[in-house]
Amino acid sequence: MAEENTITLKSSDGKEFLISKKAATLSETIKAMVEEDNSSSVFPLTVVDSKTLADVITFLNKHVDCGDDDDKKKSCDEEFMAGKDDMKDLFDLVVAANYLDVKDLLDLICGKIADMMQGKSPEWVRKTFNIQNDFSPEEEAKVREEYAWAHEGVEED
Amino acid sequence: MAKEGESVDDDSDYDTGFGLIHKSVKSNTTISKEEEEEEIEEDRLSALPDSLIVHILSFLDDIKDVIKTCLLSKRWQFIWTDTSEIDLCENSFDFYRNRIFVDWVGRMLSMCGNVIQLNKFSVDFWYDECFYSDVNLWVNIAVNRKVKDVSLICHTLKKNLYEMPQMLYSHTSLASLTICSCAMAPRVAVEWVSLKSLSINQVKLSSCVMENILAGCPILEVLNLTTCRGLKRLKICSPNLTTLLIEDWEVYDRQKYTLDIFAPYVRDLTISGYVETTQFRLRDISSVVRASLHFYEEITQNWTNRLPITMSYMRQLLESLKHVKELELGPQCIEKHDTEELAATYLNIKSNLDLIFHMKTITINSFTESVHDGEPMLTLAQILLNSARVLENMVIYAEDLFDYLPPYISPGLAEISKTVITFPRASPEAVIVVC
Repeated sequence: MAEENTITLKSSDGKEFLISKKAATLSETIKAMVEEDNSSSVFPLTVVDSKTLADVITFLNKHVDCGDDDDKKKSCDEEFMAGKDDMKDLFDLVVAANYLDVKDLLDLICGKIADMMQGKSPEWVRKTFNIQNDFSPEEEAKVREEYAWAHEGVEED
Repeated sequence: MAKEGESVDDDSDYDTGFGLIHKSVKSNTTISKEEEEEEIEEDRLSALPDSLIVHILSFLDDIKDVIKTCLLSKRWQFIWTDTSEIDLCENSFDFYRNRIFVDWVGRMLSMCGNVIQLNKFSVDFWYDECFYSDVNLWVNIAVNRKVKDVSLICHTLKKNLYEMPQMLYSHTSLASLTICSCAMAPRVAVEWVSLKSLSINQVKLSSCVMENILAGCPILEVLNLTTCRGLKRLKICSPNLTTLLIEDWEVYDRQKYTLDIFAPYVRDLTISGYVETTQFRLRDISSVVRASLHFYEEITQNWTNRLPITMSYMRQLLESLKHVKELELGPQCIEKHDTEELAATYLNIKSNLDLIFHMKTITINSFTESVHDGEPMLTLAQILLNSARVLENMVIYAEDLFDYLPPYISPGLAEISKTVITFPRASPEAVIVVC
């Protein structure tokens, strides 16, 4: 029966999504939920909003289709990430992937965020991610001196 | 009934309500100006839990980028010390810079003291004997933190190498080890029961030491020995060890070096070296499925005189590899040779080596130079295509031909492809790729 192979995920804002059990249980969190409560078919995810959940479900379905083919997964992931430049979307996804415990998605988004920091000066990273510098100039100079070795060869950008 | 992955509810209100997010967006349709501004200024990265930030940092290639995050804000000052991978490198061989580097490694190890398990400890620097106790201390700390991957690359031009400490030989949780320019002399039984990958580079190994090491690595899968002169005989008895890479690039000592290899279980074999000084004798490699041979020859005054010796050696190697399904040949040893003579030489190989033509995959790698218009690669390809009866794939890497032109506008690559396609083929179904 089709119904036995699908479950419904409910987002924090009350929207319901149908997904195959096979795809849903790529998430360790959902897997544990399903194992614990075999009789239910609707699982509420109180910390994932519908827009993010739709993205996560797209990812899970794609990965189920890829099976064990790593090359296929790689091109699927590239396709999935294409155009995902909006900071809010990225952070919503990383938080959701962390909560749902989907390792492949978590690694993909973390890698993307890390790419934005690669080889950049602290000033650039602060600006990109809106990090407020709460060091006083003296404190900052002290930390910079302490870690002088790591700061060598940084290109100002 | 709703389709899979599609929303079935039209409620338009969002409420993420997740504690780690500073604030949630109330509506996806109307965001007030005030909220929009707040949105822009939001620092979602710093709001993530430490463990997630550390995971993000683990994707940075350069550890300096990881350490540098200490300057972002007070929140970030010590997050980097939770990193479980320490991978540090100093390229300069200036003593003073290496002194600073050595101090840094020590400091970093002591700062990252919260990490219960260290996944990786890797250093690459110019060693001096005055750093001996520092390096010992690092290894000690790393072993106590149950380190899994260790890489000790201690370059030196001096006689006094760093001697690998005995305690490392009995470190049972080691999963991968790379040793370069150190001395290895185990006086205890080697207990690398978890080791899967071992790479030894520029270490003088005796056959006896190597036997002792291999006896202590029951699940080793990959062994890479690069310029390990001293080793005369390599005998691999473990059926788990299936990938073997052996290279010899000795440049100071131009003595001839011979290594006998007995590796009946190895499936992937790569051997490379200077054809003039290095001689590998493949005694038992009956399980090899894929083999790569890369030999280089320095062009000296008398290279033409040596050609018969070189060719007889190549023939001998290929003869031992006649059962191999995939063979990759990259002998740039011929790169400056005369085309005609080369063609003759390879034709000569052919008459002696009919057996090699039952291979399914053949890769020809940069087998040419631009001045030769694709030779001797074309001749070799012609011979192989004409004789290989069960060939499925032939890949010809010819990009070196056109170093200065991108391949897609290079007329040469197209010419080569056209020529190759006209060659008569013993396996009409074979796929040929020129790239």
